[in-house]
Amino acid sequence: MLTPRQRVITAMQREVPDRVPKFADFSPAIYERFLKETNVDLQDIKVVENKGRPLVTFKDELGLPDPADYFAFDVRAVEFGATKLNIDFSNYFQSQQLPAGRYRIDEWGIAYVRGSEYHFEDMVHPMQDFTSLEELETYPWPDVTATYRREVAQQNVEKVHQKDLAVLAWPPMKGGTFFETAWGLRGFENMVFDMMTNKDFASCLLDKITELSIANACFFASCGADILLTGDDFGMQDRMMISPTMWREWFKPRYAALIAEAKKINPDLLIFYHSDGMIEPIIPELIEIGVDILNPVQPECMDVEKLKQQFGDRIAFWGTIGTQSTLPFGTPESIKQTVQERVQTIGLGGGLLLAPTHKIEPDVPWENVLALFDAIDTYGVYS
Amino acid sequence: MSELTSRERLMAVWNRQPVRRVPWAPMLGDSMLSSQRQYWKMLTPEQQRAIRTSYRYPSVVSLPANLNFVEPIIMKMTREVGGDYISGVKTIEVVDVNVEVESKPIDEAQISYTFHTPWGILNEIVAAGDSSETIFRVKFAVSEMNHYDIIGEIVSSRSYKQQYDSYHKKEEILGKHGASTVWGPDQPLVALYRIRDPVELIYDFNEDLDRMKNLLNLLHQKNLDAYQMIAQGPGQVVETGMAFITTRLISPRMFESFVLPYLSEYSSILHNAGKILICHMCGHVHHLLPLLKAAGIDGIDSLSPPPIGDTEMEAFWEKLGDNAILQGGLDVNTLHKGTVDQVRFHVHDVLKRSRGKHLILRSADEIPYGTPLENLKAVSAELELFYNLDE
Repeated sequence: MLTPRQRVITAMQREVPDRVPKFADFSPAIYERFLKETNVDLQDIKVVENKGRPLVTFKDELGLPDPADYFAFDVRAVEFGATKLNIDFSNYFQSQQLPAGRYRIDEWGIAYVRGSEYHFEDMVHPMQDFTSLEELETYPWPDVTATYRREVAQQNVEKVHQKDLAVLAWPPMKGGTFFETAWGLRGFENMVFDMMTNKDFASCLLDKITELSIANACFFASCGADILLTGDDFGMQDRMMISPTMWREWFKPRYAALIAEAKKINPDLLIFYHSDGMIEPIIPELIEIGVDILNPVQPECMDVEKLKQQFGDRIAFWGTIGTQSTLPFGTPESIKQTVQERVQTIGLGGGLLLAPTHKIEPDVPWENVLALFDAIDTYGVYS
Repeated sequence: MSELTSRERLMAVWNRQPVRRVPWAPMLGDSMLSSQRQYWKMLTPEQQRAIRTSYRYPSVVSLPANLNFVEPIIMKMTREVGGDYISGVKTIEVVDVNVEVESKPIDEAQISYTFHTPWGILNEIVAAGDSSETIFRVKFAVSEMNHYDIIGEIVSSRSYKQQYDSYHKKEEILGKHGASTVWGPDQPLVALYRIRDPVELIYDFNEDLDRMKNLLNLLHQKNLDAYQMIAQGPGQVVETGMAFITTRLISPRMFESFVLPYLSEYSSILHNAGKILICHMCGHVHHLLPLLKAAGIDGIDSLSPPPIGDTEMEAFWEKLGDNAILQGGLDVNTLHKGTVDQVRFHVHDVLKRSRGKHLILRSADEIPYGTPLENLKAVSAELELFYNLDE
């Protein structure tokens, strides 16, 4: 029997492990459900949650049970330590009124206004009104490469490895690697338009983000992480948000540089690429530049079996259990059937880690959550 | 103040003059007509078929549609519900001599159009249901980048012919019961949305901005000829189709770059000729309002309140100024599905919120198939009551 770490690495190297590894991310509401189901008293916890942070992000500080331990996930995400900087970004929101008491600002200066549905928030972009490169150059960038923050990550990599679990290294960017960080700062519309008509600005912003991303990718490569998380959401339900040509011009070279630099330090580092939605046109090029793992492979947007046939000898699949279909609308029986099918098709010859294609949201019945992990344990065994 | 005729009432608002009560111009179209048995049976089966076929029109060029027989019936329906009739008329004819259109029905809902030109062939498939005037493009005429070259050639060789008589004929038909607006050509970007899948169109801007700008400029140059000709012709109110110009599909920055400069020029041409420009926009326009103001337009037709649109009338006047003309304000869902009391409550609310403003009460957009005539009559009844109470 393999250790979880060996299992993940074997599967993601497209070889056959003892069984299919598993992973999942819980949204705050489903985490609360998990706590209830595991008999944790939520009375005191609510008070802390009112400070504005989702409960699931500080469960360790409170010593709360972790679904990853409970369901025996094979991977743990490792992040940097929190920043000690406290930058005042209020100057960047003078043209936009933020609703008192309903927003937070992250270390990048991006404001998040709480919505009415669960953990969903609206973003407000600090660079929305920028008109010059000078504004970009004088912007108070976060200390995402600071040594004190990396030390925390280093310690956590070691802790996870001591438990024989695989490390998914999660750099401290805003969501994605390049695009999402850039549009989080600039605004989606502005960023896409800049790439068409204000190319100097777009280049300058992306270059700054690339510099930070490559530095942190290299750090994770050097500190023993098993898998490096990269990616940006480029997929919509049936097509890409920007044209594949635009992706090639603006993002492919940046991912290629990042992956090359990281693999120069640790050639065994597995590169994980995340994009929700339909990104089929760029999959061959992701493989070409060194991506090893595709995530989350939404079955509602792409034909997973077809992808396995086309690319299964060159890339591994992480995810494939639909959070738009299978999990919220399926039954425990249909979920078991889906897991069996995935193991028999996508898992053939290795190359599969089963996981929901997004955070498990509160629309997923609890019995379906249990059925998913139970089915992976039951049917995910390679004979 | 003496009672005005429908025509006088509409013209008064367009001239920004005070009215005792605002006009009420329900947008009654063929689909609503086909749902009203007593009116629909006034048409022969051939006429009914002609109406249904007309829903599935091609996008690359205009085909003549002789539906003059419909107008008197729609007018009659408008009068029955106590409305003031607005009718669109074209005072110029688009001439595309180099395009031969071959149409072929695929099934009851779909028609395939093939456009034969000296520069190549384009094909599109359109569909529409019998009870819907909304056209669905199953296959867009432009399916690859080089098709734009054919479009460019078609537009280059396009010309316009005056048909000012049609305006006078229309006015004769309307008499005192309504007034006409002159239809101007689509905005250049709208013309592209009609021929290309919206996502692919955005990709095209991503991939070859110069080509797309050149095509927009070409369309604009032709539009300038058209608007000059319209400016010299009859009719005081000009409407331009701005379907697709909604922030559901384009961003304010896209509007600023690819709509605003052209729209401003059309607006100036018309203003110099003493005419006004109304934009038909039935989508999400809230974030475009400052830009529409900058373009110098006089008003919006079919402004949709939430939840279908995103713009309350207060925001409209706040951003466009008190002098702006609003044609719209009524929620079609309430008209379609509401009770008479709910309709009256909604109308009362709209009238209260728009006192002293230049308003033509209108549904946003067309009155849906099967809307009870009682609900439309309730709008008129509430209007009368509201202003009688005022006096």
